[in-house]
Amino acid sequence: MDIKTLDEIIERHKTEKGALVSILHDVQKHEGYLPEEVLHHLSDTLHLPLSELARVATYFEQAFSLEPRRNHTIKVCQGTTCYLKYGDQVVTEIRDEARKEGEDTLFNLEVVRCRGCCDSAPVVEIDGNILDRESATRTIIKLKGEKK
Amino acid sequence: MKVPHLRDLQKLKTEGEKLLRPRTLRIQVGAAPCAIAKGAREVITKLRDELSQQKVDATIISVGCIGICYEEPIVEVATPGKPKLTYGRITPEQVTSLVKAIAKGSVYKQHLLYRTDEEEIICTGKTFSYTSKTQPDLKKIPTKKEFKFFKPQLRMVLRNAGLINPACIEEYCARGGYAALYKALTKMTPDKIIDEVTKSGLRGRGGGGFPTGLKWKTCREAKGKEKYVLCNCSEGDPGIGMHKSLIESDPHSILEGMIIGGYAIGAHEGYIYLHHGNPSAKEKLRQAIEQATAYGFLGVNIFNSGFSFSITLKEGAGGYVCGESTALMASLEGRAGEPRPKYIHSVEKGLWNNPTNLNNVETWCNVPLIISRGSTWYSKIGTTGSKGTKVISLSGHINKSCLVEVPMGTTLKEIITTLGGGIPKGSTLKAIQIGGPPAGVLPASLADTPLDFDELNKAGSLLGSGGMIVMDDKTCMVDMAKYFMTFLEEESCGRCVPCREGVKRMREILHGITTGIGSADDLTLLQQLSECLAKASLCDLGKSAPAIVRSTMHHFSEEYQTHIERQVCPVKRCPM
Repeated sequence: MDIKTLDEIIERHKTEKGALVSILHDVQKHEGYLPEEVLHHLSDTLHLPLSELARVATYFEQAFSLEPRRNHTIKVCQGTTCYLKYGDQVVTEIRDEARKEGEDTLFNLEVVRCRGCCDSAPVVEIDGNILDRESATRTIIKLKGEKK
Repeated sequence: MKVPHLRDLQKLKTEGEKLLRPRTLRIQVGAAPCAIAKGAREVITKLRDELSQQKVDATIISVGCIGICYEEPIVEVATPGKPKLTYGRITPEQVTSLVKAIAKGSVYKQHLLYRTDEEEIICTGKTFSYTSKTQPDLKKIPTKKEFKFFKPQLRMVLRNAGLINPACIEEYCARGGYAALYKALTKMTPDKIIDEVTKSGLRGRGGGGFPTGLKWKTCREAKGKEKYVLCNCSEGDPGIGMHKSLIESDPHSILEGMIIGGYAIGAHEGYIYLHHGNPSAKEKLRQAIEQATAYGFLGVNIFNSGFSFSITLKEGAGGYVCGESTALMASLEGRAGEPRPKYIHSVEKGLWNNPTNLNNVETWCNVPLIISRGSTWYSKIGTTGSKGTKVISLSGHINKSCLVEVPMGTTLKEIITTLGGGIPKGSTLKAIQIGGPPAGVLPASLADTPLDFDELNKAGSLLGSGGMIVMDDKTCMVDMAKYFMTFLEEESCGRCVPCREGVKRMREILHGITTGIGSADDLTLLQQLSECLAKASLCDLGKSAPAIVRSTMHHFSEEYQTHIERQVCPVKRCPM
């Protein structure tokens, strides 16, 4: 991430009180993760100890990542209704499908709690689209095919 | 910045009415998360294509959630001078036939749910009618009032949900929006407002059920340089999407409630803390704040009252514990969202050590209604101890998942049978969980418990934020307890030992029981840990964590016994 973009982000939140989380959100959105050098620069500019930045960045593990993200994000819902309808088996199924041909480098696999569409439970969200388990499996196979 | 006058509000209202009762065809498509999951986006694209192909002139509007999740995608057609017609289960395949019917001026009967001749606008008590003529050909179709889904409901908080374009301030005003703000700021003193809210009997809808008026009063009287009002939209519970839905359907009602609250308390700044990962809700709120600012409902000298107020939208970064008041404030300050001991109340020292009043989305949405209609009107609804209505997100083993709003006092059984359409054939009701992870489960024998803060507490549960999960006889209660403990273990912030270690150990013991290596001593251990957590945890997440274990052990002790003594899961859910 170049310093200019980063400084623009900081500038954008200059008047905001308690802006750290908002700044980290913007960096995460822009870069897909929080690069170490960004945290160093933020520490210098915002006059915050690096340890405090690392603490916030790792505390909110659902929102921030310290490593580059993979191309596609799969979120398997484990809300109560999805779980009642055997969502735990969907997690295994989806994980197996994603890793079928060895180590998976294409997908970020996350377990989330409730996407607000319990009537379709159990659901899987792939790159922002809510799917049932069959279409999720099909989508994963398709995405893997595109890579090749 | 613009200072609005009464005539500006009236102008907005008239413009909104024109939009809601247009001269040309208006087609509304529900586009909340549940509808999108069922293909609402594809329906909109297909509608656009078909309308232009069949040369029908119409405006397509994306609206929020009307609550009938099981009938999504829902399409509403408003033809000038005719009743508004609501169609259910319109997939892209049905769009062609629907548009054909529209083009002919007829009705697509197979998918028609109900008709709306007129609607009551609850903020004003007036009726908004679509047609004055009776339509003989539509007589057989139920009106909205007669439609089974709406009959037991009283939609106060969800007054606009699914009916207006959430991105349009005019339509919000057409349904009585911002009139309460005008009344509060020009005709009422802050003390009078607090008095009204107190008399209304409104209690916080976030879970605790603390009297809202009293909270406001304490915050108003607290000493501090600045004061803040906050809206808690941190919805980390597993199984509830209702705040998300409410924000996406009607963002202005939250803003209006907050501005009134700010005036009453003496705050000039408000913050909305939105749960991470809701891009569309974030966008709707951002838009609403922008519009309200442009029209002068936010900003300096609102309605020439001398009162100024601004609202900042802050996105959280996840974490169930961030719904806890002090953790939420820490997160707003840009720190890790950990709770602090609460011997100093946040109404005295909250955000940046200033007096802070925190209410959740549903509580704020009730405020404009109390101001508009008065506390006498409001307090007639509900039970002696719990006034008003409650929004319930109903899901689990139920025929019809839905988002509904019923008067307090309605029994859980009524909600399940009349609104949820009962339990799927072949199963029976086993347990109900209402209120999310901090609440215990209720067995089927307690299904007659009414929605009421105190009654539910007595029964060993909690009204909580109103996520109601229905479980049938194929559910293993030990497994459910393990599920919730797994969730709470992940979400425990780790600050205090009882919660960090206790929840983990309880989960481990439950894991043992569900995999066939449990022993009789485990039950004693679970009891002891439950007591320790309830007494010694720092915040409510830890304090309430044992509720689910305690309640399942109490009501379903024979299931625990079978798991331990015979190493068998009676419903064959656990891997043994």
